[in-house]
Amino acid sequence: MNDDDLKKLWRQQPLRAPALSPAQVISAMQNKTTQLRRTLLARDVRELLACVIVGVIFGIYFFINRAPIARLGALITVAGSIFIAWKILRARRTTPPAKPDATVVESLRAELHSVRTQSQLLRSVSWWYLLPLTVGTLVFVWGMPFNNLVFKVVFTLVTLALDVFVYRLNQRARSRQLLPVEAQLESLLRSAETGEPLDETHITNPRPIVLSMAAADQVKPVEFKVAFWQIAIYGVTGIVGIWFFLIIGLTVDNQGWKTKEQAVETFPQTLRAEEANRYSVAARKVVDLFNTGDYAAVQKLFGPSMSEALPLQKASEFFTGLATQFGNIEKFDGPIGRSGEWVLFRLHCQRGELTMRLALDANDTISGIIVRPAPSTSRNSVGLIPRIFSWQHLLWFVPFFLVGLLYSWLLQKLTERAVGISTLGVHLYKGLNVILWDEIKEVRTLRILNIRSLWLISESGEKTIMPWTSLERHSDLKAAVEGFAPADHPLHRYLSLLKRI
Amino acid sequence: MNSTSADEQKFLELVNENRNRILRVCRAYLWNSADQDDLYQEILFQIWRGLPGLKEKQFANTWVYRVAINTAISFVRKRASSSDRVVQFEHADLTRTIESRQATEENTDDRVANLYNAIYKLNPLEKALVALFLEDLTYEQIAEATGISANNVGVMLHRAKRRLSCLMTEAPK
Repeated sequence: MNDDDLKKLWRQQPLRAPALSPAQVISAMQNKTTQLRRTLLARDVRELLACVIVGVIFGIYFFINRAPIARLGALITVAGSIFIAWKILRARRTTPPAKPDATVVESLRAELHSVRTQSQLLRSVSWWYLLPLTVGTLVFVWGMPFNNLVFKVVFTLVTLALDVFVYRLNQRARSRQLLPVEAQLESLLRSAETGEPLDETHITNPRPIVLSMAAADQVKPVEFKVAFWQIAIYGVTGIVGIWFFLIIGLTVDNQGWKTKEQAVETFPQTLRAEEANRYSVAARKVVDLFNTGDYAAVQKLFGPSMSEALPLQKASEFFTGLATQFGNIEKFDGPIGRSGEWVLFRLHCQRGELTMRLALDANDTISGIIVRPAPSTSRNSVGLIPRIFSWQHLLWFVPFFLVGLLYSWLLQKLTERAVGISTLGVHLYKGLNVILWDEIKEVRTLRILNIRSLWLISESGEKTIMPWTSLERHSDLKAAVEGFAPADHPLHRYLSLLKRI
Repeated sequence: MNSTSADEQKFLELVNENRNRILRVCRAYLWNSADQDDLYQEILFQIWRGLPGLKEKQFANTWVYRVAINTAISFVRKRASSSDRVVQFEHADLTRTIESRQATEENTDDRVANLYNAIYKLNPLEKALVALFLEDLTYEQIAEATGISANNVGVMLHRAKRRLSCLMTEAPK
């Protein structure tokens, strides 16, 4: 067949005219324009949403937290999330697509630039994405005013493990998806610019699927996404998890603040040695006289103003009450700290513990004494649970739950199809990635929690994972497999895993 | 007539004049008619978007080829990772599709099928050059449409035609 014959054959081929009236075409174009705007907006929102959530949560922490190192961590995390958002948006803004009427060469250049930028982003994901968030959250957690070392160490290890996982995932995506496309574009561009033959190793060679042109019309796959409820199980749990850790953080933080207030009583300024000695001598005298029951002698240690405020009768009643309730003082620790003119001691009695605050005047007589039961740590732990699940905190559960549902719904709407089933075979999420029915020699299940996926195994042993029970519309999925797969195909055996409708 | 309806009129005229050319380009890049429809609509959309950039009407046909080829190459590559091609099948559609699965008619012209089977095996640039050559464009017009220099068009097209010829000869009868 010569050139003219080919041209004639080409131009005279029967064509299927799309049945659209001019009005329908115009309407379709207007709809697509609107859809394009919405898609671009949705993409920006989706990418920025995670950064906004992180920024808001840690922003709240920054303002309510009093521990300076934790605040610094919150600040680093907020700054990190802003930086990440900026980095993603900047990468997109600097790689605009070619104009619609660009030449092939111009378009290839624009696409190559875009793919290289994305590839570079994934390659360097550790420093611009993982590092700021990791440093921020670790500084935050280690700076929190609670001394649960196990929690902090476990949190650090989990965070680092997650970083390694995310890094590997990104490098895998880069090497499997972006680098081949980059090589393909480079090869096409080089060929277009130099006229040299294309390096075919970079171009995907379609498998020779022999189909009649009419039969090809029937291979549009029936497409299935991952079901909403399946995403919601994890999406809602994740968002509610954020709420849970947020309220724990807030409660512990408040607890820490209160502890710190008490810490003014227990761990404040240090005393000079001679000061400590003065107060220890006075405390020893008080303790010894108290244990002997000589409350009048204790009262004689008081300075004039103290004697006036606490005369002998009142002092005797007070010390008798203490002795009745707590028994003798077996030993005392201190001084354990100082707050202004008050110096603190811890008294270990026969029936409990007391704190004693002493103030001495210049003559070493007692100008003030306060004895109180020491705060019980076990009582604090018991009180923590009601504080965590206070009604104010529980009220926040509802919006977090709803946001979890909304997030799952958005994710389901905006993500691509997971599986397509057609006369040809199984189309996986990669669009043109078709595994022909005949190529699937064996099928095995993979169970992770409540989800069962399937390994599609070829004769050479190559395994490809396919979502299965997590897919939506099980009745249609069954019908598609029963209708399209050969009768003896191993996939039929796994239809029973799908819900009975 | 306001400017919007004038633009719409211009667009419709351009599409009507070039409908068959666009359809042939779609068919050169995708063998599935549903995908061809998607590509056809995408090319129309790119023409719609790019129409304000078309200044001289005498170059309109070459301009349309440029948009069509460029869109087709990008479309085929992006389809590999596209996220907007989910088609919701209602149960009735699904049943109908399955029922009609075996009831397909064979193509009446095996020579056209043979030509397309060979074209599908060419690389994207060769496809573009061959499609434009079969549309009877000169080397200069092909160069204008693709951005490849006229000399390179000659060299590459010669190679592509030779390959096409081999593929058509090898194809099973």
